[in-house]
Amino acid sequence: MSIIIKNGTVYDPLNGIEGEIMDIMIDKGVVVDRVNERNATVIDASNKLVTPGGIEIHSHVAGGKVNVGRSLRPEDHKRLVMEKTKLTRAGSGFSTPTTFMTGYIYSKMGYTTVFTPAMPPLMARHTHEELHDIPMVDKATYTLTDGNWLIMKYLKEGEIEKCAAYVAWLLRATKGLVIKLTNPGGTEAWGWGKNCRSLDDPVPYFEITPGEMIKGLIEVNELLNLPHSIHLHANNLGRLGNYATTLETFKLSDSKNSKRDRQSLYVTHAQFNSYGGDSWKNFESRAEDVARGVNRSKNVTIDTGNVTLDETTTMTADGPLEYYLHSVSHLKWCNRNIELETAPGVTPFVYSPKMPTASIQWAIGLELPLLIKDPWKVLLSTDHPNGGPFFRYPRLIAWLMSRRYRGKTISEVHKAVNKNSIIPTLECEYSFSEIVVMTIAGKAKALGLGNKGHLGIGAQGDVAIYDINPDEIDPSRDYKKIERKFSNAAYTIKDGEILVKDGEIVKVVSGRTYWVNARVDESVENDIMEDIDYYFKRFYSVNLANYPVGEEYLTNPAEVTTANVM
Amino acid sequence: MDIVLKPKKQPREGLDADVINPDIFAGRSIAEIDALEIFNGNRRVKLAEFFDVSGSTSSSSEDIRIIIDGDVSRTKRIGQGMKAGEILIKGSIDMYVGAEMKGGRIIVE
Repeated sequence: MSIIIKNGTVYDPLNGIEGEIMDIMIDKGVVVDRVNERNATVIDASNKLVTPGGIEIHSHVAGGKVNVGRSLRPEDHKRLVMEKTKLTRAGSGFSTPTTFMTGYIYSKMGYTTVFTPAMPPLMARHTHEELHDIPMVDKATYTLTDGNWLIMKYLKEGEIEKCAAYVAWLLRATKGLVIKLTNPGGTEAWGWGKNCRSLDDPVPYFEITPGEMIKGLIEVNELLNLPHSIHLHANNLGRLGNYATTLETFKLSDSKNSKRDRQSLYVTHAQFNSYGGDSWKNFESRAEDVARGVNRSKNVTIDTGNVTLDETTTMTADGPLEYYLHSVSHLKWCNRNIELETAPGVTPFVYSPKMPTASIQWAIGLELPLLIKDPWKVLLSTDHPNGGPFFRYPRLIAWLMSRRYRGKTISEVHKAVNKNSIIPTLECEYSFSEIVVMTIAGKAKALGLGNKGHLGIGAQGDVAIYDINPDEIDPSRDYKKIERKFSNAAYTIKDGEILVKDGEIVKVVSGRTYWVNARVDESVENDIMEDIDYYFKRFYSVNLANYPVGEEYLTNPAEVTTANVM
Repeated sequence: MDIVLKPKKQPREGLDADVINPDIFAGRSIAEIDALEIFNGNRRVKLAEFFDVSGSTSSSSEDIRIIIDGDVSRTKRIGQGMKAGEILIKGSIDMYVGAEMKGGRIIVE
């Protein structure tokens, strides 16, 4: 089937197109330069905004702790219920939506790619089974390495090549796409009730520091030439005064340039790592310092991790942090230790606008993008559901595009934002072009995905069309309309098929699941198999033969090689 | 007018009891209050199964004070959405107490 999208106002920053009225043509699922008009479906996109399909780079939607979150929160499921229709299944959950519902909501917002950022290797099978049940979007998952015994052993011994061989094996065994670190070192220390809050705190028994782990894995990542850089949930997240740890973390990447056209260090949900103060009473934003750090660093990209002022659920692999949140809020809490690997935790959190802390956190999430000069370096996320549900993206966009909307919210939150943040003074309003960079194009670039996030010839036929006329609308004034229209795409097209029309699902598909097949020299691979074998016999409670996940667990598996950009 | 609810043993699967609310008690007799439905996990049960109800009712919610005399640490949504009246809880309480209240008072001792 072929499609012509006629006369849309197109934003395609990766190809230098910013609000040009032009046609986009798709044939056999791929963007082409001409189609036979007689056999094509024509979409009239006049006076409408046309962008590549949305890309979600960091949202906890599948896996062990996500499901723990769903089970922990029956009250969250009473809050939002989606009824069954002819085409779609029922679903429930406001901050912990069930799997099918997750896919449907993303698609209705114009998203065509959703990556879930935290898969403990031992739980890979579970993660892929949940991804199997998320329709409508292409998927991938990031493999957690922050408490991994073999990685810590090899890095401590200075065996970078062996570490790279093991990581490559781990990514293949778990069918992951990215090397993920969450509170590196800290998740292993948590097994002893301890933590690694500074880059120099040694991990008990392994005696390696978070700084050494991060530097080692940056090197491994570039040695393997993976499409994305390492993806880091930094140490000391969520704690007072942690901005200093963040700045030191950025410095670890200074001398490490990537061969690929992207950062060598990706620091996710940086809002949670931009805190000042030394007690919750004098808690303040240090977004300015962190923004300066990003502006100055050649090799760093971040995403925001905005707080949306909702009651939500926190879920991360940062076990000690989750315990800390529980001890502060006294709300119910679940903790898990994944043998030899990592340590997730789950607890609800209420970001009430009446609270000074939540109000300042909200401010920080917006200060960061407003202060960072290059939109390619600061991408948009809520770290769903940690900062808020992913369907708040249209609201984030509206806040960034409208100073008036921010002002209205400032008057509704706690007045501490006036003293302990600088959000009231920030006048900058994002343009459509910059928004598309922060939500789509910049994500594709950071991820190393060559065929996504743009509409050039050969790109995947993933397009979102919104009922917004960029030439007429004043986003500064009509922020409510911006929020409404970005929530319900006029069209969501995936692989050249119309999946959503006027915010309603008209076709259900299963997306692909990407995973990376990284390889090293065969002799090194053989070397490490002895070590892997030993660790399984001596320490793991499962057999090596039962550990790797075969491609049969993935829907439409799409192997990514490391030879070139995807 | 005081209506006293003495909780019986709190169950392991919690109670959702948003009917414990002066606006809902107003104009109902004690027998009718006994028969109000609450959730125990996913079971619908009568309020009387988990609370001994006594006292005097009123037709106006402003005049009603509900006293919960004991531990309700597994009971959620007490006073949710209430507009007037008072609730006094002499014990521990679970999530969403007074959620989306529009008026009245809740005191948790």
